[in-house]
Amino acid sequence: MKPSSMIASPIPESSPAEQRLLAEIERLLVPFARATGTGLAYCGSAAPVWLAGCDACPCSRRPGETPACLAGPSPSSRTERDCRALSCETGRLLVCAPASQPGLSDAMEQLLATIDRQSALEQQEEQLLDELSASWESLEAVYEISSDLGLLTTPEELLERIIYRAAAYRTGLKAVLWLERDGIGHPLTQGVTGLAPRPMKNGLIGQVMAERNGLILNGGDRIASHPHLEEELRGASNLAVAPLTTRQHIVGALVVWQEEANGEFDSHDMRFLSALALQAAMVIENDRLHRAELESERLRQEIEIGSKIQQILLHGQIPKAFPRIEVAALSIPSRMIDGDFYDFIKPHEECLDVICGDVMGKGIPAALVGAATKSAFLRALSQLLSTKGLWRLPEPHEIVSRAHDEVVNQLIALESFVTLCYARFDLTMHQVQIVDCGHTATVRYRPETGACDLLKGVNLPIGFYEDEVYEQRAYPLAPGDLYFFYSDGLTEASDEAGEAFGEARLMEIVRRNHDLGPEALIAEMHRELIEFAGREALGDDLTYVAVRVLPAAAPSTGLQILSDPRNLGRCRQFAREACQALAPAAGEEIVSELELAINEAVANVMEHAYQEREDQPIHLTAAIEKDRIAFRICHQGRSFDPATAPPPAFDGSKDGGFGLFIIAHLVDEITYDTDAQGRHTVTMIKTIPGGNHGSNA
Amino acid sequence: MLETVETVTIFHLPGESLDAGNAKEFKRDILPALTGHSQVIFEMSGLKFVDSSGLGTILSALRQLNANGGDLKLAGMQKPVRALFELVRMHRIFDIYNTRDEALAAFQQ
Repeated sequence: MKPSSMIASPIPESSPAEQRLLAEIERLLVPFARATGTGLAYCGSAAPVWLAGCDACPCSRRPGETPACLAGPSPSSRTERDCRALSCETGRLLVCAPASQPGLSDAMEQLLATIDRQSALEQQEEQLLDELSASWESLEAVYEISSDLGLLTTPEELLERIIYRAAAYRTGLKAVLWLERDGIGHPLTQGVTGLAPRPMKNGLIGQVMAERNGLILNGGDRIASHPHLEEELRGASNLAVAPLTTRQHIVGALVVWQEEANGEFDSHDMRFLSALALQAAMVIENDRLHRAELESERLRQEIEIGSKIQQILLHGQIPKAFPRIEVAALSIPSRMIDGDFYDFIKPHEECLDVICGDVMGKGIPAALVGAATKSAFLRALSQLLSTKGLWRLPEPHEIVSRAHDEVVNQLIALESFVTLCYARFDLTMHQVQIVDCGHTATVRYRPETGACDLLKGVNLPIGFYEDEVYEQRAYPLAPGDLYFFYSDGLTEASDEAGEAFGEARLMEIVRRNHDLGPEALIAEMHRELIEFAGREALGDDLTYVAVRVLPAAAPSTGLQILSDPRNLGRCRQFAREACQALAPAAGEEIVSELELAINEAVANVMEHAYQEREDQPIHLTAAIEKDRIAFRICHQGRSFDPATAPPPAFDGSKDGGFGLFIIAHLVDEITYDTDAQGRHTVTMIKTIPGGNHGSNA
Repeated sequence: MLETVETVTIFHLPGESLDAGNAKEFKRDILPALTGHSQVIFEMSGLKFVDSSGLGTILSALRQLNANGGDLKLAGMQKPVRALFELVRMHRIFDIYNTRDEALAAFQQ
């Protein structure tokens, strides 16, 4: 029987990701498992299935049959020693070592690790593609319109362009841009005829304008049941409305709908529509202010709109949930918007991409070029991801080259260029990869040297030269390393005497404040700048981005002993000293209790796990987690099932059996874990009343 | 250390701790030493620490004495030791006194 016939039939409705995972398992694991007599089962969206049978453990079955042990809770809690589940995102893999072997072979371990890593990568890639497509669709619209800025001169032409873009978003869309003047809406249409100016106050669109919030209605019945529905929307199956808002006013609404009942609107679509509506509002507001010749008001508005564009389009959200990377960013728009931008991409939780850029030129056109460039980067990454094949992230220089190819001609035509730094912080590779395109030199602080240096690349800015080849540089990355990116508004700011802030001052401030953490460092940098310049209002935009790899935690208190019971006194002393060091709030009674608990647990390991052998390793650690102290005892002896221990005899008839009872009464939690290498850990946790001592000591 | 007051034999338990590291040794020494005595006091004030193995040896001493019609009283426990005995409810099995003199008085009643 061919392996594929075993896999395909029992899993009829698996997802594409799961099918790919299974294909990998079949390719990598099944032949090896069958050759070595290793049991292999997969438990995914459908019924669990043995891919290769084994005779080692009681749950063994033939290929194709449902293994009994997969029906219960996690196999890791079972006593069969070599059964273990491997977490794959789409399912669990259960592996049983052959009877002839004490555990899984190294080769099998490696194959398992490969499968696990690959399935994790694939999962991350799908998420990343999702996020990217949501971002760049919005930016795409702005990009096209911003390239039109140089060509189209009248507001009418720009608005036509916007409504055209809205209708082209999806096939079969109808779009109307309602512009309100003195309570009367004037329609600009695409794919709709027969609309005349009319009062806006009543009706669905008027309601959206009054509430200043976008609205999505999916489903013909829902739409038709709206009490004040506009006539032209009667046949709509899905619709979306975004209000056109300026700082003070609602100036209209953008309405799109379709009559075929396919393709509901979602929040991604609303984001796109809102970006278009913002553009339209900007055009209208600029036009209004221009006509009124309110120069000062216009400037104020431009700043307002510019900073809105920056918030929405130019400055990315800081991704969360990096266990080992801290990130902070701050942007302070000046009177003259000049198109600083930054964004973050999170390929996975050990990897962060930072893009910092600065557009040559000022004002809203520069901001829009910035948005367009950013869009080109997100799209470049997205395209590379979807064409690269599975499980490989495109490198920064590939992303920069692809984005460059896309925007270089437009930038040359607009006589603009963009300086940019693309940095990838990859903790798994212990590396930072940087493509610097004429941007300000990156400041790096390393605890190893206790000093700052400047990292500068050799590439030209984007938009200078069509055939530029982008060079990437790699730097080692270690815990505690800090990177500081900034716009030239910082280094070029000058004091009253005309002296520039400069790189030396910048490096010194970073060095002095390196341990504050990114957010406080940026705040301190800005404070220093204001103090230096002697004024709050600086001519340029200021952008700061700081990235720090968390410093390695101080090694937690630990003790290594051999399994000789005469070492129990040292264990108690360790427990006492760890309490004093980590949890000074712990009173004598608690310290005594912990001494006894640790003594009992270590004695159990010596007697049961190591069967009274006296030359085996035991490792004790202590750590404080908020107000809880945790003691861990690691050993490599037999695993231990507390459920099988006989209860103690309280009538004095037996000498032993009190240990577990004692521990259970002295600590709040006790857990038993086994890792992939067969190391067992007993963890005991106790709350220290009144103790809150922060991080690990 | 052994002390005799009339019919009562008082053993001053040696060392600072009685744990799995020295419990076997202690048991090996104490059980033979108990033979021939029926009224026994363990004077424990020198012990700062006793674990479940140590407690087990004291239990075995009690059982041996009881089997031969004798009796064992415990005296002078430090606070953590007393806490262990109470935790595993052994204060109901042993006669525990604060001092050697109280234990002696109990035998002489």
